[in-house]
Amino acid sequence: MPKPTPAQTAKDQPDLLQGTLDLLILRTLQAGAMHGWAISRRIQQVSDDVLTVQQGSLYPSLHRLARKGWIDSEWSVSENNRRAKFYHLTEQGRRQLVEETETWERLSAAVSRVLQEA
Amino acid sequence: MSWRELRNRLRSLLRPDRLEAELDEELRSHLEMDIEHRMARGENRRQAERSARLALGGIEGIKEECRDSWGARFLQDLWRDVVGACRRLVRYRRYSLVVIGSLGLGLGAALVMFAMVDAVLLRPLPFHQPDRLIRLWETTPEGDRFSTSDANLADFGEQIEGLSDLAAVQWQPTRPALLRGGERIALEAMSVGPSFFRTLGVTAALGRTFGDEESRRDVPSRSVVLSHQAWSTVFGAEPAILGREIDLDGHLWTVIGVLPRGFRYGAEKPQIYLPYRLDPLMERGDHWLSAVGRLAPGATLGGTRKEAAAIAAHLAEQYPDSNAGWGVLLEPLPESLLGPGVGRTQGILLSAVGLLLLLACVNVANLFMAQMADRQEELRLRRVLGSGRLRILQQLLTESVVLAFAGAAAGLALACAAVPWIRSLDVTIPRIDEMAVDARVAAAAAVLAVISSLVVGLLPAWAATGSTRGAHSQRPGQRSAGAGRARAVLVACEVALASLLAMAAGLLLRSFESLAAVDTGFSDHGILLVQIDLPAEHYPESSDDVRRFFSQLIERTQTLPGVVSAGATVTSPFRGPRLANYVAAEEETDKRAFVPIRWQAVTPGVFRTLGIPLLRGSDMGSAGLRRETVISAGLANRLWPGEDPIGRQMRWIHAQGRLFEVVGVVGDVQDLVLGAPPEPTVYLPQGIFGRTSMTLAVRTEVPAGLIAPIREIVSDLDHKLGAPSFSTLEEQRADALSQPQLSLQVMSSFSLLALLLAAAGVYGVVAYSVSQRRRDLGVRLALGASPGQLVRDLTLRNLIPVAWGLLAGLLAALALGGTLRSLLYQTSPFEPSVVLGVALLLGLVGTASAWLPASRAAKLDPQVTIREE
Repeated sequence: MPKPTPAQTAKDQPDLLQGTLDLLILRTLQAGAMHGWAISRRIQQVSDDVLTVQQGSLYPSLHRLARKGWIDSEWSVSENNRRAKFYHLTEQGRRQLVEETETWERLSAAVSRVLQEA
Repeated sequence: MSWRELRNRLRSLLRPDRLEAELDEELRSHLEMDIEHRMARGENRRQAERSARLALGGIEGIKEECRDSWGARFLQDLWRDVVGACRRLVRYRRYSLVVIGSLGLGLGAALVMFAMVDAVLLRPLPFHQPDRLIRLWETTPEGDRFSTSDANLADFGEQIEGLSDLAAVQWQPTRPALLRGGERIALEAMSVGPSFFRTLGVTAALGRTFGDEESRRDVPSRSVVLSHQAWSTVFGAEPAILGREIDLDGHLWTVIGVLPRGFRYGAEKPQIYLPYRLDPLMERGDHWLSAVGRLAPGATLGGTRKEAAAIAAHLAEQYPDSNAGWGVLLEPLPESLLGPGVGRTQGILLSAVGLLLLLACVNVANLFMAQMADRQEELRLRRVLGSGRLRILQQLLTESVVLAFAGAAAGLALACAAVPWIRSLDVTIPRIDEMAVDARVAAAAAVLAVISSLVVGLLPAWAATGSTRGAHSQRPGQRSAGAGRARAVLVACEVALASLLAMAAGLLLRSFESLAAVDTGFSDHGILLVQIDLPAEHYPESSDDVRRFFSQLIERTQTLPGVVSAGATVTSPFRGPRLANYVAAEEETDKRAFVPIRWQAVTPGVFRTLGIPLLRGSDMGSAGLRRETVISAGLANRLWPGEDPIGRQMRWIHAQGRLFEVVGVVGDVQDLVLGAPPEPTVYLPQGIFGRTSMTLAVRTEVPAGLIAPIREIVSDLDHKLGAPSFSTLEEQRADALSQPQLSLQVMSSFSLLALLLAAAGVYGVVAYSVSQRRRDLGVRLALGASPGQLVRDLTLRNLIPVAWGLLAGLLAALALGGTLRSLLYQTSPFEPSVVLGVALLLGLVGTASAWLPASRAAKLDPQVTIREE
C-alpha cells in the first residue's frame, strides 16, 4: 500500500522508524504541552536538522500514543493566538518514556559497540 | 487497556463525527502554522501554501491512519459501507435488479437442488445410528443379489455374531382389506419380523411396537402397528385406538401402537405393519424375504461380512440342494434404500446447478466490472487522495456482499415456491417428499451468498483498485485494454458454461425421447387395468374360489360391449410385483444350469390383450390347470438354443422341482423398468397358482366407459369386495418415466436459465462497449462509414469471445460426456445432432444478443456524440 510521501526528503536524512518517532515525541513533550507543528519543529531543531519528522506520520503517531493513554490532549490557544490541539505527557507516558529511553540506550550502545569492535 | 484508552475508544465509537471535526481542525491549524512559519522565512503566500501542503502529504491518508488508531474503526467503516452500498443499490435500480435477478435465479436453482439432495442423500435416515444398519441379501450362483428364504434367514440370524439383530421384511406391500361398517378399505401393509422396529431403533409415538409377545412361537400374533398417516386419516387420529380390534381380511387384529409421523422404510409407504414370524419349515430354496440388521457393538462391516460368508458357505455344504453356490451380501442400509442410480443422478444435477450458479456469478462479475469501469474516476480520485487499497477493496466487497445477500433472499423466495411444487410432482425418488426449505437450506443460502459475493466482487474490485498510475492520462470512462480483455474472457466463460449445460439437457432430451419411444414388446393403447385384491380369509390362495372368481370375472368382462379381449396377470405393468425364480431344461442335472427368471401367473388371453406376439406354439388352455407354460423368446433361446422348445419340459426352481411343458413362445417385453433389457420370463397358469391379487387387463376402444360396468360385475360376484382401482396402461407407463422426466425437466430449466444468463452477459458487454465508444463511432459515422458496416463490425468483434466459449464448452462437454452416460438410454454422450444443435443455438443466441445493442450504434447521431465530451 503506497503511503503518501512528503515531496522533499533529503537523501542524508534517515527515515525514522515508527517506534523511534514515538520515543522522540514522548521526550519532546517532557518539556511541556505542545501542539503538533511545534513538536515537529522542535525535533528538527534539537537534532540540528538531522531528523525531519515526516509530517504525514506525525499525526497518526500522536493519535496512536493518545489511544494508548501515554499522552493526552486539550484545545488551547497558541503563542500566535491560534487555536491548536496541545498534547502533554500523562503519568503513564512518563513511565513509558523512562522505560523506552533505557531500552533505546541499551540498544544504541550495543549497536555502537558492534560498530567499533567488530 | 487503561481507563483513558477505554474512554478514547468509547468516544471514537459513540462520537465519530466530533473526532472527525477535531482531526480536521487540528490538521488545518497545523497547515496554517506551517504557512505562517514559511512566510516568516520569506516565501510568498502561494509558495508557502504549496510547500506546506507538500510537506504534510496526502491529508486523506493521514486522516485514514489516524482513524485507524481510534479503534472500532472496522465496524464504523463496515456500517458506513453497508449504508453506502444500499444507497447505491437504490440509485442504480436497474443494475441492482439485474444483478439480484441473476444471482436469485442461480442461487434459487442451487437451493432447490440442495434441498432435494439434502432430503434424499444427505440427511441421515431417521433411525438410531443408521450407519450401523445393514441389509442382508443372498447372492445367486451367478453373483446377483437375491432375496433370502425363511430357513436361511433364521440360520443367519442365529449364527452371525456380528449382528445384534436381524429382522425379516416382506418387501412388497400386500393389500389386506379393512372391514369397517360394511365397507372394505384396501390398506398397504408390510410384514416385518418382530425385531424390525427394535433393529431400526424406532419407538412408537403411541403404545408400543412389536416385542416379545409377537416373537412367541406357540400363539399366532394378531398385533398390528399403524403408520401415523393411517392413524390420522383412516382412524381419524383417535387417541383411544390402542387395544382396538380391527377386522383385516376377516380376522380380528389388535392395534398395539402408532408409529411416529414420517416413519418410513424405503420408498414404499405401508399404512399398517403386521408381524411376520420366520417359518423354518418352508422350502429353503423359496427366496422371497428381505432383511435388515444391526451391527453388534464393536463389530465392523468387513469382519461381519467375512463371518456371514463363512456361514453361507457352511449352509451350502449342509443343504446342497437349495444352497449350493449361494452366498450372502451385507449392504449398508442407507445406500441400499436409496437404490441404484439415484445418488449418481442427484450428483450430476448438483454439478449442473453448480455450473449454473457459477454462470450467474460470472454474469454478475461482468456487470460489476462494467460498473467499476464507470467508477474508475471516482476510485482513482480516492486513491490519489490517499485512500488505502484495502480500504477501497473493503468497500467494494461490502457492495458485492450486500448484493449477494439480496440475491440469496430472492433465491430463497424462489426455492420456497419451487419446493412444494416439486414435492407435488409425485416422483418416485425415495424420501423426496421430505424435501423442505428449512434452516439447513437457509444456511446453505448464506454460505453460497458469501462464496458468490467473493467470486463476484473480488476480481473486479482487485482490477479496479489497481495502480494509481496513469491517473491523468485517461479520460473518464475510457476503458483500459486489460479490463476489456478480462470481460471478453468472462463472456467466453459464460458461453462455455451455458453450452455445457445445454449439451447435457440436449442429451437428456434425446435419451428421454428414445426411452419414451422404447418398444416395450406390447401395445399400450386402449388397455384398461383393474387391480383386484381378494381377501385371504374368503379366498385362500390357489383355492377353487379364487379360480372361479377370476374366470367368471374375465368371462363376464368379455361380454361387455366394446371389449376386444380380457385376461389377468399377477404383475401389473410397470408396477410389479417382480416375482423371481429359477428354471432349467428338464434334461439338465447340474444345479448351476438353473437360469434366474421373472415369472408371472397369467390367465389365457393376456398375451392377446396386451398385444404380446405369440411367436410359436399356442396360448395356454382355457382352464389353465395343466402344467404348461409359455416362455419368452429370450428364455427359449437360453434353455434350448437353436432347438424347437415346444413340447419340451421345463423344471421349476430346483432339481426336484415340478415340470412344466412349454406350449408357446412369446416376444420379449420390458414391462417393469423402461430401458432395461428384457428379462427371461416364464408365464405360468393362474389356474395352478391361484394368486389372489391380480390385475385384470381389458383391451377396448372405450376404457372410461367400462369402469362402471366392471365395478358392477365385481360387486355382483362378491358384494363384500371393495371397489377395485382402475388405471390405463398408458398412465402406468408414464409413471415409469417420471424419474428420467424429472432429470430432464430440471436439466432443461437449468440450461434455459443458463442461456438467458449468457445472452444477458453478451448483451451487457456489447451494450457497454457501444456506450463507451459512442464518440469513436460518431467520428467514424461522420467520416462516412455506413451504419450497416459499423453494426457488422461491432457484432463480429464481440462474437469472437462467444466462439471461443462455445469451443471450450463443447470440448469440456466431450471430456465430461462419460459422466452422463449412466443417465442416457441409447444415446451416445457425443451425439452429433446434439453437439450441432447446441452450437447452432448458442451461435444464434450469441449473435442476437451482440447484434441487438450494436444496432443502436447505427442510430447514433454523430453531431451529438462528438460534442458530448
